[in-house]
Amino acid sequence: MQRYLIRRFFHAVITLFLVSILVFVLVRLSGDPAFVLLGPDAPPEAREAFRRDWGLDKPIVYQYGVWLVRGLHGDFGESMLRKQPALTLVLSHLWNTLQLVLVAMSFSVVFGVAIGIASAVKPSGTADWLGRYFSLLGQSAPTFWVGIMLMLLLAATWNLLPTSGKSGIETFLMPAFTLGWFSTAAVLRISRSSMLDVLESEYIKSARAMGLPQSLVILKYALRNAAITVMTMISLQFIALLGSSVIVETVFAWPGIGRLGVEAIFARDFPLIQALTMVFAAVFISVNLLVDILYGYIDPRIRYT
Amino acid sequence: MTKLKAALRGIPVGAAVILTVVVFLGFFGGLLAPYSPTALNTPGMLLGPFSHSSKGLHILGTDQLGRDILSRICAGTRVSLIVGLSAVFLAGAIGSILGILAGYFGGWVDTLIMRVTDAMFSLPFLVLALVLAAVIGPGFSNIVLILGLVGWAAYARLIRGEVLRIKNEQFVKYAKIAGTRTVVVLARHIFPNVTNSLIVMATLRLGIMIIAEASLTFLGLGVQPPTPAWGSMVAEGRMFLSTAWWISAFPGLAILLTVMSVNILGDWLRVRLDPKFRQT
Repeated sequence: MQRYLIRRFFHAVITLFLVSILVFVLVRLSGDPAFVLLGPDAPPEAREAFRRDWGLDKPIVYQYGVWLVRGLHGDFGESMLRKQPALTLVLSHLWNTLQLVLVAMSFSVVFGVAIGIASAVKPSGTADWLGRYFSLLGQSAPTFWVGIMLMLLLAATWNLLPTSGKSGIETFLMPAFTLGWFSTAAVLRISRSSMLDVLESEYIKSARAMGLPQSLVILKYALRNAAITVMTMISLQFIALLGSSVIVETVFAWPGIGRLGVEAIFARDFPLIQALTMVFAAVFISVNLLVDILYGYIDPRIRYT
Repeated sequence: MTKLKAALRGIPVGAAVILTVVVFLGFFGGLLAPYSPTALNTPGMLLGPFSHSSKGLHILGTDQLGRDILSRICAGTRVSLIVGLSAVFLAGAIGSILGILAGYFGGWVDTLIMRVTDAMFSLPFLVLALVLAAVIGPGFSNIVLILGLVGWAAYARLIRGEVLRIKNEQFVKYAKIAGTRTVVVLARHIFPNVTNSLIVMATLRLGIMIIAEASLTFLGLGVQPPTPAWGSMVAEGRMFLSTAWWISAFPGLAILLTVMSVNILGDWLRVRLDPKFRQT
């Protein structure tokens, strides 16, 4: 177990490093922030001055070195757009996004797993039918449209919920539902098929043959083994939710990193984009690491790979 | 005739009809649209469904510049379909090539390709597409390129699994013994046997691609105006949500119906073509 964890951690660090290089290069290829932030009418001397101020006229390897060293001390520079330290900006927004994602994920996991299992245990029952239609709708409806329609119904027409921003619990409801919608469908499908597979297996049949009550069979044996597939799915969903948060945050004006990211990309705000990507990457890599650890814990066979 | 009937057995009729209409509009949408999708008609702006303007009846209403919504939806069908299909094609091509290489040759090629695939799986699709869109720029062909570059991972993984299964079959071994060049083995023996799974995966992913294109266009990074596209129509309608909800509602509904039909037909196709994918 020890060696497995150390190797995984090592992988994580290397990946983070590679991501930083990739982002650094890509972002500098994407355009000139001087152009975007000063406007196309600004005289070339102003742009030169801007580039010198931000150190953009130095060779790229030098820029990377400086950035790396400063970054390791926690200094990711200042956002060109907002003139605030990039890292604090990202982290404060990150917390908002994480809150939203966690609410959405709890919703989708609870709903998805419950309906998925119910529909596997009783095929062609009401749960199965409900599950299948919900799953289809969830996969086919574009997230931004669902969000806008919800806003139309609940906020503009019936005035039940506020349209945007983040204040009280009510502001969480629509964005979280929209965000979790797509994900519920996926969790549902996977729980259902994984549960179906497990229910077919030998040891379940023998447990039933021995006369164990159905509920015990499901809870104690089937669930544990279906858990691994479901957990993979959940971690994948977490990442997908972080991705979709870009859309949902734009629609609902939620102050999270998704929306911050879109702004940063449009403005070619290099320091902010870099800080964002590093934080993003760190989050993913930690999630993957966590899942790997959980795997090792649940399925002892994996520890020896 | 009977062969066709046998092939189409059990096809979900509703979805097939909708999709036929959509494809038809994709080809002839611009011509069939009752009014011009781009001509401005400001006096007739923001009219609700089934209202009349100087031009005539607008079944789905008009937008903030007086353009007929139904016509714009018809015209926008092209964009969604062409981008979606091309992106799937590109991603499928990249993914199958990499998957075949990884599966057949194994060793460091396999490890390298699988590592990259894993990395791509661990990053969200939309975020990658966004970053690439910022670097490469928006626009029709750029979007196809971006979606193709971001979406190949699923195909690679699937095809690699298939190739691992196939390469141990008898006929491959005989081909190798007979001295067939590797390229020929790959093209003549391996590839035709993965096409089934490839087609199934492509139909499953088409819906995702269509939604992805719409999302990028919604954010402003996709197809640019004045080309009518469903995503940008929904984005434009946001400002008028309380006054003219139809501007956002109907294009989104078009996306929903199209993707739903694609998914339903995809499920049917999957059950028919490849028992491995069966979900029950």
